[in-house]
Amino acid sequence: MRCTHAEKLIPLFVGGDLPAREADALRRHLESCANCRRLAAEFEESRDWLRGFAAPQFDEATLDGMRDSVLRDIGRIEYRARWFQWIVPGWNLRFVFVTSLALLLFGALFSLAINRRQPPHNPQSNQAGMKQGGGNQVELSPGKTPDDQVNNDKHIASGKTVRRKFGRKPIKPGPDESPQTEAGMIDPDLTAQATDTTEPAIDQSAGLDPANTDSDANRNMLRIEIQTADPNIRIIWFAPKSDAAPRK
Amino acid sequence: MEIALMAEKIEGHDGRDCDGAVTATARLIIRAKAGDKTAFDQIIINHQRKVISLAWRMLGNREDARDAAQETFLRVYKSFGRFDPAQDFNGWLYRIAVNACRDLARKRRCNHYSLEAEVESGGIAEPASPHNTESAAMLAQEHAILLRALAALPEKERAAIVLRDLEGFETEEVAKILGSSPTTVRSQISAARVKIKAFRERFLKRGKR
Repeated sequence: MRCTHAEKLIPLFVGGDLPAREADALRRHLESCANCRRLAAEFEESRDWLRGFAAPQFDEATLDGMRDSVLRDIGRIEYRARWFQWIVPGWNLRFVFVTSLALLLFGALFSLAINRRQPPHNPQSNQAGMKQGGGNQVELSPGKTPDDQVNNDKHIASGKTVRRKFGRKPIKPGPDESPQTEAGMIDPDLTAQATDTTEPAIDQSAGLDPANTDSDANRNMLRIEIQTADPNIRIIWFAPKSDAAPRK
Repeated sequence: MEIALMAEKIEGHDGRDCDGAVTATARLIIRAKAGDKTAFDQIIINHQRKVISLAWRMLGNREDARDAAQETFLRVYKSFGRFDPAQDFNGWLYRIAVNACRDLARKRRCNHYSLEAEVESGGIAEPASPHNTESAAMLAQEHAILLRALAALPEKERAAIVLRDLEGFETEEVAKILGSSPTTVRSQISAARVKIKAFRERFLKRGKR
């Protein structure tokens, strides 16, 4: 054993805190090393000095006063506990925990019930709207005129609830749709009102040529209208339906 | 039946004495747990000197030691319901006392001792022979130095050395009381012994000058 290691073990050795094997090894080292032996003797002296440290004798009056204070405090605690028991019989932590859990559960159920009571939205109106093409476009029920559309816009401006569709739907005109509705969609005044910009506005809508509604060929055509900056000029483009998908 | 089993458990763990004192303690604990105030009062009487001495060694001040002992017994009363009879009552009591001392020390930040205050309040032990005033003065001075040496230690090291070297607990018992491992306690005790030795040597050198 080296002295550096022995120096670390000596404080524990003098107090009898070393395991037997290590204590034996240190004892053998101490027999051969005078410096470590001297260090061990100093630690033993210090230990004896510490063990001679007696606590002061507390007189009976101090101890009685302390005991009385404890009993008085206990009496106060018991009185408070009795008062709580009067308010809530069987008052304890478990009771508090269960009560708060029950209240939380009740609150959650109550809010769930309120949410369920709200009226469901009308799916029919949605379906009607789905049939109209276009992105952020105000829905038109079948048979409504563009004037109704303008009225709808006014409703929006005045803050009244009007349903809007925000998703771009695939262009697919149904066979039962009237040509008047499609014609309404391309009313020049209405389009000009909606696109008051210097850039040409593109109105891509599915529909049939009102002039050729009975033609089978036209039914399979996609009509794309482009409103130029000049309100009097509009480009109308017919494309076969297979080309309806946007090209990149 | 349940009470008898509980008494048996307590006796089994405190079975160091064979003179019936343990049985009496076990019975007192059971009665106190059931809410008997007289039994609790008797428990205080039996343990108050030990607790207040420990508190004084930990805090180095009579007033604080008294307050810590009071707080200890109050905590014992409050947590008697949670006391497991399979536990060692003395260890449990000492753990509460050490924690109460630590809390009080933190609250009051009393990490240094005033020798004058201790002498005035009578905290320093009375001399063995009142006629020999010179030896009495030396003894008082040595006690003051010891107090200061203990005060200079970190809180955990102080608790470990007080319990091991002054209260005479085994390292494993100290570890249980302090809620740490025996290895940690050994290292704390070792560090504390080195510091106390250094403190004493410094004082002795100053005395020789």
